[in-house]
Amino acid sequence: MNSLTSQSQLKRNGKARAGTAVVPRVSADVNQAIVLIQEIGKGNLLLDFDADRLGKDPLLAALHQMTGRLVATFGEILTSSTLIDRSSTSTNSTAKALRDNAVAMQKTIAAAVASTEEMRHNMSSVSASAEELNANMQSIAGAAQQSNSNVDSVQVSIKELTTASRDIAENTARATTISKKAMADVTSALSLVSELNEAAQAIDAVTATISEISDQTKLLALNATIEAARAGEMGKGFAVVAKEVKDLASQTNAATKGIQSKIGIIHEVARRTSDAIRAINDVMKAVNEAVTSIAAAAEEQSVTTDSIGQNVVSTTERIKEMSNNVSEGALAVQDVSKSILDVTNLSSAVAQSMNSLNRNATEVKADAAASYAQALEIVTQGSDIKRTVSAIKLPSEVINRGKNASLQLCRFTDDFDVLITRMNDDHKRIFAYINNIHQRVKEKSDTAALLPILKELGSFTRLHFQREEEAMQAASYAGYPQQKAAHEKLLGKVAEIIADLDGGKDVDLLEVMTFLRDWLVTHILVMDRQYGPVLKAQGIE
Amino acid sequence: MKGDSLSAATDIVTFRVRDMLCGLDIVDVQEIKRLHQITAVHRAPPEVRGVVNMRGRIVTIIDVRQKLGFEPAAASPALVIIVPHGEELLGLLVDDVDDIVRAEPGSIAPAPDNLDGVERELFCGVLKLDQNLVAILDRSRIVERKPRLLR
Repeated sequence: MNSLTSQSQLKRNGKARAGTAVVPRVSADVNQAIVLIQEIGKGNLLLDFDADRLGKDPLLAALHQMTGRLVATFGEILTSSTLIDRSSTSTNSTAKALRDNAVAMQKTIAAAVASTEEMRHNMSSVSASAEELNANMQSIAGAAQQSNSNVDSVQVSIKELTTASRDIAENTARATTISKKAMADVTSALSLVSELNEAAQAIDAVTATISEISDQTKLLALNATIEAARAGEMGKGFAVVAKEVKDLASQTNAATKGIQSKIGIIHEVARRTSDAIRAINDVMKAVNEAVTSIAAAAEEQSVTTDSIGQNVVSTTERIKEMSNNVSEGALAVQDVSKSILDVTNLSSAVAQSMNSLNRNATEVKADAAASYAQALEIVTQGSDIKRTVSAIKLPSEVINRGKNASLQLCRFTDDFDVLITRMNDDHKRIFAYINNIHQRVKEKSDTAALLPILKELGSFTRLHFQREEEAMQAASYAGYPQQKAAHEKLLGKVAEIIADLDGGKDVDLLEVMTFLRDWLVTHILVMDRQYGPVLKAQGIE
Repeated sequence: MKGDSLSAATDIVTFRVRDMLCGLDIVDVQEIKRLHQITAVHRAPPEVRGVVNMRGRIVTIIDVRQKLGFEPAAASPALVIIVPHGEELLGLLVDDVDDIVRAEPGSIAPAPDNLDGVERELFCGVLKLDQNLVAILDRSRIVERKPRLLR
């Protein structure tokens, strides 16, 4: 709208309406031009030009052109400042949130650092305990080894004991046989002695008879001697015979007494022998009983010793098994101890990392605070600009355009006009794609959800480039090779980014969008705008 | 036998009363007899053991032990020395008859005062042998001292 005739629509404020009322209708008069310039100087761009006079009065035409340009410029400024204001307010709240988050994060990290430190400390104590456990296990393993060898020696002793008890059993069996034989011998000796005694008694009887006879013979001889003495001289010869008989009787008596004495000795010896043999018999009986009971005991002991031996063998096996288990356990504990040491070292490393993370968080906090402060400044600046621009009186549609401008990463302004409507539409659509992605990033959308849009952007850009290139070729445009090269390069770059995203790489989409915008802006403003007049001259719309 | 009769050599029958070796002149002895049964005499003195019938003659048995003041001898078997006393026969009950020994003149000494405390007057002398002493009993004294029975 270059002729500002719809003054009645511009009802921004009371002042504007009053301005409208006082502004005189511009004529070819210089005075009128001066009045208009004065109005412009006051900041009033709501000027009403008479269309009929514009063609006739060059001064008025120049003023009209200037005013139009000023309105457009201030309109842009207003729009931009509004956007800046809105954006900076949002940036401000984001920066504030960022700062708050940074503070919270730093606190969390500090707590994590403390926890990590505690964990590291605990791990040290666990490590020490594990070390101690390890030492204990080693000593248990040593003890088990010791008991192992002890049991071995016990086993050897038990074997010896078994052999010894078997020997005892054999010897006592032999002793039993011998003592039984001895008892039989004793019994036979006893009967022999008894026979001897009987024989002696028989001799006794004989000698008693002999003794009696000799006694009677002696008495007879004595009486004969007495008789001879009584016979006097006549009896002397008889007395000699009587004496001979008496001497014989005495000798017989003496011999008999000798025999009796010897027989008495035989009797005594036989009696003593008999007693001794009986005593021996008793002893032999006792010995036999003792040997029998020893044999039984030895047999029992042998059995018991065998059983002990078997038990010891099985016990030895178990102790060896246990010893092996303990050794394995000791090795396992060693491994565990080593692992714990590793974990301890790891936790030390984690603690170091956490400390450095803490330092980073502190820096982040400082950065966040700084960015918040800067955002505040931007808010202030934006407000200032907005306020300043607001002082300029502008047509209501310009003002509304500024108010309604949406907050976008890139805005299609008149600068981007390449004179070819089709291309402009393409460029707008590409801008819309970029803005869409940017908006979604701002809304913290998932990267995976953005990938399809990015791919769409890629394919549309490729289509657009083809269109441009075809048009350029049709118009035999001189800058075609440069354009083609630039297009290829960008398409390659975009394909790369899409491949990265497909591969799950962490790609900063904002950076990508900024890059695309910058490339596009530069490309349109520098290269594309050059082909506009050429293509248009060739009749391409 | 009297002390003066010892001037000539004689034979002495030796015998034992308890442990004492005693003797009698062989001329005073009729014979030596072994008795198996002695008939006790009622109301006789203690030293008279009883009587026996020997070939139709009554023999009074006198216990020499008791005569000498010792305890009584065993009842049987009894060894008795038969001694004639006038028309009677006496039997001297002794423990054992030993021998008949020769007593040379002068070999018999008078009985000593301390002769084992027995009544000295019953002995008439002591015969010394190589190893022993034989106390010679006085036959008449032993016989004299049995008045009650003989009366």
